[in-house]
Amino acid sequence: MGRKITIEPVTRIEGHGKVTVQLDDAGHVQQSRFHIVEFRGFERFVQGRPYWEAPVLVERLCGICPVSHHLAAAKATDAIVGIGPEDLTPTGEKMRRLMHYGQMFQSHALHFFHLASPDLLFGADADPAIRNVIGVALMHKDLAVQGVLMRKFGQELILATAGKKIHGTGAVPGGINKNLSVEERDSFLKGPDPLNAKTMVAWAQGALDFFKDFHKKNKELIDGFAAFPSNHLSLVRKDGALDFYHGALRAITADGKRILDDVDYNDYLKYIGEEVRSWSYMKFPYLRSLGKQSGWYRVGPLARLNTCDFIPTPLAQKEFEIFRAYSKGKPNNRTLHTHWARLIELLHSGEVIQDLLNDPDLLGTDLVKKGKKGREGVGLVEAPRGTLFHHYRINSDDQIEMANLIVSTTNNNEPMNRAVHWVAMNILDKQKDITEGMLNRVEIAIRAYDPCLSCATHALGKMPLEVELYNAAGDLIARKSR
Amino acid sequence: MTIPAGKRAKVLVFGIGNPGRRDDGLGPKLIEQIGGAEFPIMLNVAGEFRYQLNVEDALTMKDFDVVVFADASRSGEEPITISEIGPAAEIAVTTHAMSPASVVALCLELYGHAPRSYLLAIRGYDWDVGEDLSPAAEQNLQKALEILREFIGRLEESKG
Repeated sequence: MGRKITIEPVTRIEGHGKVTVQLDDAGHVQQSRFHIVEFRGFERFVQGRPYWEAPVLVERLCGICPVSHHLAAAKATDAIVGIGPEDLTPTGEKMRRLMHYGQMFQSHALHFFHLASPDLLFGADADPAIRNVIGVALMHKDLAVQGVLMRKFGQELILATAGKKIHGTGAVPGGINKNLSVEERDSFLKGPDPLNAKTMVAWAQGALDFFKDFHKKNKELIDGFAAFPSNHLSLVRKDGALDFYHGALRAITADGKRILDDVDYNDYLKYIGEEVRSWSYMKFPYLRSLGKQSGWYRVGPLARLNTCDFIPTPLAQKEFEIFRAYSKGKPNNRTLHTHWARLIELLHSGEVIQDLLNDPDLLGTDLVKKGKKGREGVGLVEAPRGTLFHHYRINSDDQIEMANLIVSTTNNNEPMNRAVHWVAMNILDKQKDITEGMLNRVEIAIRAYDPCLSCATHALGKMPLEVELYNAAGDLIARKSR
Repeated sequence: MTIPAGKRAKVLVFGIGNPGRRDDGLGPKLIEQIGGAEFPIMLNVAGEFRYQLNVEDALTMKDFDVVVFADASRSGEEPITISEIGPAAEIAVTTHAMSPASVVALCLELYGHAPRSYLLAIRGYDWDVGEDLSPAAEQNLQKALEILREFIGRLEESKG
């Protein structure tokens, strides 16, 4: 009978994470688990609702990436109205892309400045009173200001394309319900500094350079922390390019062998299964061809840069070549390189936004197409945290009778558990107590994935991060909380 | 309060929560009601709906004199509590939300000043999927609006 250490950030009523580490009598780590309460009630919530409401209803799943859910649901309902991803009007597709890349830009910027930079600037052992975004503002005001304004720029793009920053209605089955006005385009393209696309690209490059400089000075941490081999999965454009909005499924092994290639995502159920484990509410997806034990995979920035062949914008492509060369052309399996990959994607998003804003198709008036209606639709996008699956089937009254969602955090369930286990084995083994630094190292492993711990509900009265220590008899002997 | 006499005080109310999760929608529903409510003529009251607070809200609030963060509460006194909050830095586990005190702290660090800030906690009871408030939360919402109007009115009286 050993001691059990519990790390429990109860930050939502429904959604919260909990890390449990089981030690044996000698103090060695026996087992570690990262529990996430996954709320799947939305799949029931949308049942009985008209299918055209799905793109708006599902935005309530998440307050941080509602656009991803909006667009995945829109793509699925496109299929129901008989419109394939390549059939949208140029204005429809490009407005959706601008919305999506605006969301990627703001989300990736927020992650770097809010979540990653405090750990990089101050270190895992720094005083928690400083190691946060307020500390960044205090010590590096320029970085903090850039973070806030990059987030705002992306939010304004979402407002212009989706109609609202939070509950956007821009994407509708078969297209989009608004185009971009000349005034809107000009404000993003030529607006006064700093809120224009050119400055955003420059700041994205600056953030990436900051990370690369930090990496040079801290190779042991960035290269070694929570590194483990895994399969990788993402959408990839037909020609192998990185594409966040549309593509076919590609999966590779830890050493680069292709498991899936050019797979139509409408057939995802043939290739991907979801395992239920008794100790977790969240399912564990896996590639059926490899089985439950070895078929788990990573999604998100690191996976995307491992699966794609190139990035179709010049500055990000140059950085991609450096990134790929670092792992000698092989897949990169280092968890903290997710931050590096995320910043390359930030730069790419800025470049795509700039290119799209120069495209006159955004000003077009042909917004929606209709085809032959069907009963079922699947829509996938690459959300900031990874591949997002939406699947709906409707009845003869146009009501949704079945919905299946696999969100990015679910896809990353096993990788997050592996990352936490690495920390448990390397940091918590043989420990009698948990220091702030140890606790933060567990969080650093989780932060690389930035899991969505169910944004669905947010209310006051939540508990802070809490650590509990139990003795061999199961008695609580210590508690640590923020 | 440091609002100069004669100045039309700017008050911002953030309504925080998810209206798709029953009583979690108390904050956003308060914002809807503020739109039709009457406030003293010398006050300029604006409402903003948020799922969660985040870094850009430091920018949003910087030009206001007073900010009220209205959120549903799973415990505490009924129907509401109002308390003044100061800046407080907190570590984030994910990027998904910031606390009101963290947003106030960020505003202070980035812009050198922060509005006087209050937390309005409205007691909720039911967090299931759904768009309607529970009957008890509905009653609390009506009382919250009355108390908020009175509270904001007192801000006007206390101008120096």
